Amino acid sequence: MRIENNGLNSQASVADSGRSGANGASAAAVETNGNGAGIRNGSGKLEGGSTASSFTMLAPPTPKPSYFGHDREEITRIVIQSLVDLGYHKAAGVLEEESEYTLESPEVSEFRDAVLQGQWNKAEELLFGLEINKDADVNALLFYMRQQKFLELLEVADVSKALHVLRTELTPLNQSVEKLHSLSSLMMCISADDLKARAEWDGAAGLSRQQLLSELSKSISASVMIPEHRLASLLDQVKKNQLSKCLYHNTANSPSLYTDHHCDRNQFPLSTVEILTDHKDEVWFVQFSNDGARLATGSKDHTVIIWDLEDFRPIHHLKEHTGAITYLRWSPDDSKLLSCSQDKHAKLWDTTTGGCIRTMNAHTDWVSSCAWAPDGLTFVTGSVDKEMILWNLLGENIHTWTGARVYDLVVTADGTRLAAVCTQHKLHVFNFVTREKEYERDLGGVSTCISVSKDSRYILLNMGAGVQELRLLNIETGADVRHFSGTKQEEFVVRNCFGGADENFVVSGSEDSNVYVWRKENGALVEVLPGHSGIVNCVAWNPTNPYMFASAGDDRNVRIWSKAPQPQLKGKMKGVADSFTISSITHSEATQTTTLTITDATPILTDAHLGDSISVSGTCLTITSFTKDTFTVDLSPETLRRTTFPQSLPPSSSSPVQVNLERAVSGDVRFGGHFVQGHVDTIAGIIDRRPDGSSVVLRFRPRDREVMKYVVEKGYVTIDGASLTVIAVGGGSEEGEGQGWWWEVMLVEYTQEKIITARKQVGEEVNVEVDITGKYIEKQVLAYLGAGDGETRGGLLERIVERVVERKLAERK
Amino acid sequence: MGLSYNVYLNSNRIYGCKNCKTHLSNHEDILSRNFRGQHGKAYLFNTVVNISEAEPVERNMTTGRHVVRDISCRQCNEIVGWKYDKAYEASEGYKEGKFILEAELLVNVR
Repeated sequence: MRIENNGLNSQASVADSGRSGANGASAAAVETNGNGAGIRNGSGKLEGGSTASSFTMLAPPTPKPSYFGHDREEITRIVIQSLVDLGYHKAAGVLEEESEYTLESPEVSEFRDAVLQGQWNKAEELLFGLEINKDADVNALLFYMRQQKFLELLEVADVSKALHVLRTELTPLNQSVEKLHSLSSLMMCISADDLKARAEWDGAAGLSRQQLLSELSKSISASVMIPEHRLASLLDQVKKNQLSKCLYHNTANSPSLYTDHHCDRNQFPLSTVEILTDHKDEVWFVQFSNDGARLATGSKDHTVIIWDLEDFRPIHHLKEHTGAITYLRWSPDDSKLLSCSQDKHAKLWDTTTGGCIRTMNAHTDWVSSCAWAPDGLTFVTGSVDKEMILWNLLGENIHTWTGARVYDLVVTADGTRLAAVCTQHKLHVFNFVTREKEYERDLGGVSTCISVSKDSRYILLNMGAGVQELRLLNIETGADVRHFSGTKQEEFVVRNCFGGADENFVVSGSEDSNVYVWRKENGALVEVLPGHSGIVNCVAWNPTNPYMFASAGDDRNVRIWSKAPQPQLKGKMKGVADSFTISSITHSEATQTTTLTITDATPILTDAHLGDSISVSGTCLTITSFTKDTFTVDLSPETLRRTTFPQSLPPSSSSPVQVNLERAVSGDVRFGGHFVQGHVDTIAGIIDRRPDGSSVVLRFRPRDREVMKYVVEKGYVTIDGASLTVIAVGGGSEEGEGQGWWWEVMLVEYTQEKIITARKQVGEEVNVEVDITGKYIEKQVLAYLGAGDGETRGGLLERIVERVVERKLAERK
Repeated sequence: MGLSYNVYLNSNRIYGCKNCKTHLSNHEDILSRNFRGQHGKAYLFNTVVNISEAEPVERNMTTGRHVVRDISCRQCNEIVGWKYDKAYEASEGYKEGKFILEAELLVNVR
């Protein structure tokens, strides 16, 4: 017995099961002719082995090792198919030989050849030999094949045969009658070209046979005939999966297959890099120019400011409106700017000179919105006076749409549609070219803002009171695609925008002072960014820079958000050796203690021991644990009350919380300041900040007015741990009391670089410790005067006076 | 406080703020025309829109003691009338939750 062929036999049986599976009869048939065409081992021994193997089929196959858990055969056949797809036929052949798997069994190859060569009868026979999916409609498959036969016969003008096919082969299949009718009508075609045009068929020589094969192969069992381009479709799925998991995906590039795709959070714009404060009242609108070089902001203070984004300075102040600015739009070429206002006018400005080119005053109520046609020659303004007007650049009214009181409108980038939302909770979509209304849809709630995606297919709505979410709609059908929630929007207009590379994100403002960012593809909330105080009215993303966006708020500020700045760049601040960042804050409810952790603190920890004192922004704290570069300190509730330390880091800080660190004074140091205990008395807010030459003067107002007693001109005060000289005290006369209510310190350039206070802006707070000497003196004086310690009378002064009076009275006697 | 649009009413006779024409109420919402305010004639309305309410105060009116709050136009902040919170006399109870707009401070908007 050819036991030594066992290995080969097992191969045969394994290959067989790969080919036609269940069909036992054909397995036997395959056995005999399989060795010639199938297993191309080329060894003559195999011939003999095969006849023996029909008796030894019972030998169990020796399993080949699986490919890291995947079936070896599946993988190999898929690889073979990919090699063929890629055009490497020789390599495919070699792989088939070496692996002893075949991409397709011989029947499938024969079937494929038969179809491609138009041998229809053979193809039909072979079709039944193949394993067809259970739910496949065999008649439909046959119809398809015979239809191809029919069309090809007509193409060569063999009408009688074609008719024969139609009668005897197509009709009995009981497919749809219309199909039969259309096929029979094709017989009337004069020429082959006419036939091809009518039937939308490209002839026997074209791709039609390939297409037929593709269609048929979809119904054949997948293990027999592997679906086309299987590897490519598997990889597509993997990419899609990785992309959907990548929360911060902010590039338009397709991810590489070499590594698992994962966008870093630090690449996402999370920090405020600039705050623009020039507006004198709430800022209601912000938009980047289309080239990303400038920014336009509109405010309740009736002005529009155009900013340069290189240095964040204003270029033009446009001041002609007499009402608050509600909306702005750059023209597609950025040469003009449209502004809409509550003074019922819309104005067209030249962005280079800052001059007003034209004023449109046809509206009888607030102008709420405007949009440019993509060619930049016409624009639409919408108003709550029920009209939307289409203007040309000369200010002439070309067309008016009447009917809805419009809150916001957009024109799609391809110029086909105009969409608007109105006070009656409806969405209206018009064809911009024909100006006809396409449809209107009830939204079920008031929508304050509408944006359109760059591909002109989706619109994004902000829903207000009662609904409070964002909705993404398909512009063709008006149907909801996705919802994004988290924002608060009850009474006021809050606006949204698409953003990020390839418009991967959806951004919105909110009445709770945060900016919200979601992933457009799956609605996942990516970030909630605090920073503004008051409603965030409008957001805009830089169209040319996927790492920058802007937000405008009721706090009169416009914030520019970008990636966290690298430590070594940006402007006037040079190396800040003594300022460090709090890396985390944790709070324990049980002990009511908060623990601060500061990392990257190696320079300050050189000879540290547990229990050493360290001044953190002027607060003397004890080191509770430390490593070479990290240490932790605990903050008691009293410390938290008296200082500016937050109880927790804001979630994704707009700017990291920085502190100054200082170790306790050692014995041999030169003493150039005053004794700072590190015991913070109170916190103070910065109420003014002005330059004085290259120095900066900061004015502070303390939270607890009592500390003013200890602050004297030219005395010392400790701010955030830095000992500073008081240059002025004031605020007395206005407040009507003698102690005053503010003091000022001056920071020279050197100090500005070293201490964190120098970077704080008006409104921020600092830790304050007053000179302890003042307190001791005060207590002594009070004790002498008897004004404290619960004594109702007595005290030294009173006794002195008593004695003197007694003596005098005694003398008089 | 942010940009907030007015509510717009749908009817043939709408009363609006004399100062800025903001819609306040419909003619159909009038419950009674038999009132007098500081500026003369006043009407009792069922509902009004686009107003902001002040703090409630007790006032003695010709019909008795009431708790009222002044209401003003939301856009221009001009006082346009008052709202009855509570009436101490039972016979005046029908006024509770309703609004008075003074005719002198209103204008017909279309």
